Amino acid sequence: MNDAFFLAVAAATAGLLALALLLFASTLWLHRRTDAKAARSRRLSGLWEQFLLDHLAGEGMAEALWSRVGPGDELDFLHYLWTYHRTLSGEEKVRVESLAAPYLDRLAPRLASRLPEIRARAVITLAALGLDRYERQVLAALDDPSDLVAVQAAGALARSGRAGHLPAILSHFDRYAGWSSGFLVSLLASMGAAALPALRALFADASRSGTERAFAGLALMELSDAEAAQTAAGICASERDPALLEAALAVLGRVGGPEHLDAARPHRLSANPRVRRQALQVIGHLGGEDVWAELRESLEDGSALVRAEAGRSLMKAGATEALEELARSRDRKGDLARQSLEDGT
Amino acid sequence: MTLGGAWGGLLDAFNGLVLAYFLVLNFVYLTLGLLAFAALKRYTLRMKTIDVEEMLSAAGVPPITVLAPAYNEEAGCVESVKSLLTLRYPDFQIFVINDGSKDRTLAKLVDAFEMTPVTRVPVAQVPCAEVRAVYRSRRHPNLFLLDKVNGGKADALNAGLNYCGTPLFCAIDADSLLERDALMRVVRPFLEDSTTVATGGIIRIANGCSVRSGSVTDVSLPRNLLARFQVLEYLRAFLTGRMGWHALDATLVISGAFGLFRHATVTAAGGFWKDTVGEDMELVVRLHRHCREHGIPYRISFVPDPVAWTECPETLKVLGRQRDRWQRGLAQVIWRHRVMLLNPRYGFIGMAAYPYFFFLEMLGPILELGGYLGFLAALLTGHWSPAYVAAFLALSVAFGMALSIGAVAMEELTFRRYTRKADVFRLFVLAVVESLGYRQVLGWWRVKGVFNQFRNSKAWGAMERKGFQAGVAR
Repeated sequence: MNDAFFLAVAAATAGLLALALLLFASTLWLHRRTDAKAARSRRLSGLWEQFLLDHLAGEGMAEALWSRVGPGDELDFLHYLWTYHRTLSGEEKVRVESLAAPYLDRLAPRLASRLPEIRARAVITLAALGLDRYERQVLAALDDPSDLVAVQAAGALARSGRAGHLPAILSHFDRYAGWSSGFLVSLLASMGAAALPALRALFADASRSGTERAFAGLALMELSDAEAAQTAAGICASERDPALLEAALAVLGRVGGPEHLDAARPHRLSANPRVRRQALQVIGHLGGEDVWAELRESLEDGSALVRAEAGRSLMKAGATEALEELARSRDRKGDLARQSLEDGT
Repeated sequence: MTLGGAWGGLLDAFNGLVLAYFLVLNFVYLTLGLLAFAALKRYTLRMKTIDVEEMLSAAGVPPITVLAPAYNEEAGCVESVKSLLTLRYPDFQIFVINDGSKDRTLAKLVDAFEMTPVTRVPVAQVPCAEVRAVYRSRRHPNLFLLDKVNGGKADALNAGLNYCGTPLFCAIDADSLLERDALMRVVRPFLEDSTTVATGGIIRIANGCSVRSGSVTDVSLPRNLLARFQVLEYLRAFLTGRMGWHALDATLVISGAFGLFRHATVTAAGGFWKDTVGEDMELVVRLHRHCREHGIPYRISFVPDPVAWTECPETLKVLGRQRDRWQRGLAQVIWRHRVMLLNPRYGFIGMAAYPYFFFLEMLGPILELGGYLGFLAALLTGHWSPAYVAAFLALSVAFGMALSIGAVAMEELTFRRYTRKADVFRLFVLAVVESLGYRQVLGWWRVKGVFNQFRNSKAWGAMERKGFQAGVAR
């Protein structure tokens, strides 16, 4: 082994030791900095809390709180207000927004940050504390190159409860399509009653994709919108998209009436197990003794989840005696029947 | 040179191979470390952006079943279940699976939680040993107990799969202590990407920490030196290794102590493989194969903020058994799925991640041990100068030190569980001394594990547990 190799090894060792030393020093510095930041945060919270609470109670002036926001503390103050804002409602929420108003301009430049996480954080805060002033920017965030920012903008707009934002949210649907369906449905449903007309229109619009209509339907189900039942029944009669059918059946299961039972029944034999399961749920919810026979047939379904649903639906349809008779048998149907009876009591 | 040419040449060639292994291994570690650093920075920013509680307070969160296999856990099973019942998550069930315990695990659970036999029909048919009875708690309707014939941990998990009616399940160890918001945090990838099929959280060492009412209330380094080394090792393994591979979208390992999986995908892939002591890694590798071979879009990820605390061994004997088992498990899995090795069909996993585990993690310890012996031989026979060997060993120590200190730095940058300056300083000292014996002993156990695997040893070995300490904070 020659000297050059030895020198290379020695140099690499020295380099790594230097790196280790640098990391060591950085860590100690980070430790101190984090401690200092936490102490500062505690100090500021302590400084602002009583004045904020007084103001929310109508006993303190906003100026008393503002005078305690020093230069360099503005963004911390906005974050502090945002954490309170989330937990408040009504008049108190409005008061917090008015406290934040003078400082929002300090946050706005972060909408142009190169980091999507910073942009997303700015969108959430501005939408919560100053949507009237920054509505245009929050809507523009739906077109942000980052899906994270677009989703956060959609969520923030949905939470504002302003129905006028729904078309914009829905027109960017492809940006959130990768997120879980449950999350997206709750995002739409969080708009509340103000969104019902737009959601109903989307649910009924045959020119839109099955996925979009399904999400609209599930949001209507979450909002327990009785008017959606008729549209759902129409979808059950005419559509083939499994996701849309599943959503329509879910709507009927929540808000449907006995007149919608026949719309659900054929789907008990669908090729898609999720559709079959949902259909059974509706049949059990809406039917009586007239559906027991078909529900019993479904106890033999090829899918375990469908079989379990058949048992539950028999309970819901009032077939207790029939289940008790089945429960006396020692086969799989007997176990299902016993499980349904136990769960139902 | 004082040796014959042939012997000297052979020694040179072997030591050259060891050197090449060393350089490649540390280059990979360094690369993973850099990737992990960047990914962790982004992740902590992302955590500040997306409020998990707000995300989950809305409707539509996927229900989760926690599967907790238990074998001879009478000492701590009741406390463990009490802790699980306090998890903060809108919709979850707990299935404790009593895997044919010979002690009073079953009786204790039945008594403590007023459990009564219920009828449950399986929703899947993954093969497993007979389930004798299913119980449900009268006090906690979301708590179930499956009593089955002994079949091992993987078998117990499969039994749990068969009764799990939720779209997601969380597999944990009986002695894992999940933080209250662990489920909320580990489910996030499933909300953000509907193709997610599995996610792993981070495992942290509970030794030395204070535990009250099923929660870790104070985090500090253990007094036991071996346990301290393991704290450092876990930080390196998770914050550097797992995070680095996650950044490359090549997560091959999710710890059996804490992983969240999509039930439908796991059952379609066949559940857990029983004939291995590495059932956790084997499942993840098989999920990669299953999804790729069936053209299913999928994602397997690692999230560093949901935490499961676990006790680690404090004696050489028990630690040695554990590491032997881990290496055997690794070797079993890597050998079983060797079709993926350098196979472009499996993309980056097959061309990069799998070769890393095959050559560097499975076979590497043999080369490493051989390297120490080869260097010693070269030194004793005068073939290499002491200065050269010392330089190389210094390089090896410096590499290890840099990586470990880097892991401590990342911990400080991100989660900062060890808040006492003294603990941070101790971690640095451990990073310096760990290469002066501890790593070498680990390497020896890993070598034994590989050889034991090819000798077909199936032993798990017993873990000596002290139980979580309800101590007072220092």
